[in-house]
Amino acid sequence: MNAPLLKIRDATKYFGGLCAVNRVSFDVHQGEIVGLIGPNGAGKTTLFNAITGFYPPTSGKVFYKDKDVTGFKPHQLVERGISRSFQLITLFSNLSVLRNVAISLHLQTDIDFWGSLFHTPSYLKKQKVAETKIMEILRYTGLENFKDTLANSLSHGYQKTLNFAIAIGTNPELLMLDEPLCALSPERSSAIQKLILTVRDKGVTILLIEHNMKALFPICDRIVVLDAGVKIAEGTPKVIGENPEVISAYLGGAVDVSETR
Amino acid sequence: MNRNDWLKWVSLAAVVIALFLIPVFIKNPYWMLVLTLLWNYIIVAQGFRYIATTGEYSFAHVPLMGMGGYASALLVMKLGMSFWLALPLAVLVTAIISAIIYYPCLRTTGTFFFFASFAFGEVMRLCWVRFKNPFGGVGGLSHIPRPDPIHIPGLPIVEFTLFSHTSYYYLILVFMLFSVLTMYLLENSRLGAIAAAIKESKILASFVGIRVWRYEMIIFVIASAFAALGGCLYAHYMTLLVPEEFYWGLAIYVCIWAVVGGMGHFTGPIVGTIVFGLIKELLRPFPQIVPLIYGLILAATLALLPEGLISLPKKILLWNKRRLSRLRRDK
Amino acid sequence: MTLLYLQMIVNGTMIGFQLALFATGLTLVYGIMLIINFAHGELYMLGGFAVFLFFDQLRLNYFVSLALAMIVVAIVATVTERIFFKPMRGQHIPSFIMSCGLVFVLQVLAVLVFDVKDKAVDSVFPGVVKIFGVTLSMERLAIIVISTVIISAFYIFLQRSRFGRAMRAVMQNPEAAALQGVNIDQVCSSAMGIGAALAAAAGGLLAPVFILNPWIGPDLTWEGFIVVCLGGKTSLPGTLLAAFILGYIKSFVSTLADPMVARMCSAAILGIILTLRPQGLLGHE
Repeated sequence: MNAPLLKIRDATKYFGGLCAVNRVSFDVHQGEIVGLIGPNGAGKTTLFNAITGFYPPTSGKVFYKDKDVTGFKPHQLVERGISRSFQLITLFSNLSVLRNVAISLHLQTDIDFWGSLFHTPSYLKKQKVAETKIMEILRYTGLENFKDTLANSLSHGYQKTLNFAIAIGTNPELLMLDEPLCALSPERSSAIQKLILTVRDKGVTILLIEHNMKALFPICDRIVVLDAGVKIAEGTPKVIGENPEVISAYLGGAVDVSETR
Repeated sequence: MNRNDWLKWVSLAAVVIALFLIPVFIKNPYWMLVLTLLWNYIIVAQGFRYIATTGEYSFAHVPLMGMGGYASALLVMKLGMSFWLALPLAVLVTAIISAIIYYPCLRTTGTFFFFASFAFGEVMRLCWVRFKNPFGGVGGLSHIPRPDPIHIPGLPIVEFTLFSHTSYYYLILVFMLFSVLTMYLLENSRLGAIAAAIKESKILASFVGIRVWRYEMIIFVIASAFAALGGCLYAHYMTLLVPEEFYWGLAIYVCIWAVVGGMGHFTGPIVGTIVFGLIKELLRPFPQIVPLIYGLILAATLALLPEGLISLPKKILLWNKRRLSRLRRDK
Repeated sequence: MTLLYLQMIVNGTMIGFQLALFATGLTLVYGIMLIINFAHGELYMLGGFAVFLFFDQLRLNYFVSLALAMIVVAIVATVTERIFFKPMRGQHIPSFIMSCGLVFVLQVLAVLVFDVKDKAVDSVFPGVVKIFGVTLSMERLAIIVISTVIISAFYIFLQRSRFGRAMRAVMQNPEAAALQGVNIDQVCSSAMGIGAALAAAAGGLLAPVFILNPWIGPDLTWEGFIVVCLGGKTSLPGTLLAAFILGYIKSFVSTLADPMVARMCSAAILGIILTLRPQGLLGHE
């Protein structure tokens, strides 16, 4: 069993006197898709924020490839191969879809400042190469027809897809998605679920927060459950679906795992 | 190159040639002064806009213009340096000072960035008032020498005395064109793409690996270099430098020129500076009411044409299109 | 020595009250309408000129003049708010730029009506008084007393009256307040009017003491923003606290060093607070 890609140890976050995340620990292994679920206010997004540099955790440690990355700023994490998408639409609104993805390739495009200043032939060649990479991402996320559309003119479903495309554009090894399927039409939702699986097959490890259990259970290898800031369960979807604590945390309705397979 | 691009290049060339030909037709020293100052202010206004490409409005920009002027004036007057050496040195010194001023401001954004930039810029400006030696206090620096003449072997000597209106006009025109060209290239370079990303969403920019602070700092310092350039040229042209000049009044004026011109488009500040400069000249018999008219134009622009004057042609075209399509429908 | 210190304290207190009256209006406008009104200093200036007109020129009773000044300026401000600021609520930078335009307009109007020269307003409370063997100007003491009355009246209004509670509700959470049936437009206009009245009161009170000309607005407005940011941008108690802190700093540094250094301190405080502790002294994160 190889060492975990991401190790979270006793992550804790206090806001004033309120404890939003309380000593949460779990691992994510290379190539896995791990789902993070829990009722509203359980602390899932707070945990994400604390691990991805939005704010530092009050205490606890985060290890990526056995290196301590606790409290690292977002750009430092992206440089190391961790990328994150947001629950609320966060895009470069007034820029085209093409430029949105182009910017996400920032770290993989060599800067060549002087070339870009004078638009030298070598710079223009590099632009062409970058454009092929961008079109590839647009193609497999289904956005190629929108390449010149302004990001804020897209429908909600396609904006979420663009969110996803930007996160992928950074070429991450670990992709953290915050409610990627939230408020999507069934067809967009299944498109993104397929994308998540495709991305995993390319070797990317995925940690995602999601409410929609029917969508989550078929694609996750493991599930971690949070309630009121505390981890209450961890295991395969089948085990979680039958866990009485999880069921009661969600206040009613056992999740019939058989229905979701 | 298609027809549109060709048209753009030709009209641009025509404009530049016209600018160079102006002194041939206009000999009146007053108008030379007005136009020269106009080109000078364009350097500063364009620099203000350059900072705004990251989404921030800086109120340290105009004080830094003053700093450039003071630095070059002092280098020439106290250290006996030649203007031509003092100019780049003053720009360098001011760029370093701007880095110090903007560094703490990086933590702030929006309104609070401009308050913070005002605060630190003001501390710097008050130093000119407080320390009579070397800055000259409230009275500032006077009798700032004009640049020394340029001797290029084979060509006539170019002088910049108080009567050499034409040569100083060309000096500032050349620097203005250089500044505008440079900022244009920068905006369309990789740095400009990064600035646009930062302006849209600092958070998302950092989450794709952009070191927001680093790039903001680079852009702020470059803009300050241009402000300093404008300040140096200004100081040695007017030969007089007073701290009051670089207070909030001019800072707001620069902001108004840029905003009314149109912040969204590269040439917005140029249009704004020229329009307001012309209005000031039209109101020469009534100098008291100039700020009033400025204020009313600003209010009207923000209310009716928020994207600025530069968006007027597009809006007229759009309005015309709609009018024609309505006529066609009614037929 | 004691005399010097006592005078600095009295001066500091007086400036504190000036800033408190002035900055409370600013906090109110910012907290309720979420706009940056740079023309607030002009309201102070107009208040001073109004008192000059009513008290000095028309020889009306001082308190009547003061009240009239507050009312007139409040009306001007409310009308201006409806016309210019209503569409910009919530947008900091556009409202700031717009208000700068207003500054120019009001300054020029003041010049056209009252001329550029400094105006001298006669002392309202001439003479001195001896406290603990120290001579203090009656004028400054009167200003302190009257300011206390006005500020207390404002706070009582805010805490006890129904409308005051509506204003506090909008400051905390405008959406919730709207759902409770609060008329946001009315609250915004009133906030502007009350803020203007307070600024005008400050202007009228300090007209006999400080210079009065059309250009005194912007310097004071910057100090007002320093107070607001230091206090905690939407915290009214914070504004009071910050007003006095700044007032005492100004008074002491001006006397012990010089006024320029005092201004540098004020500017530095603004910069430091915004970059190191943006929520100010009493504000929330």
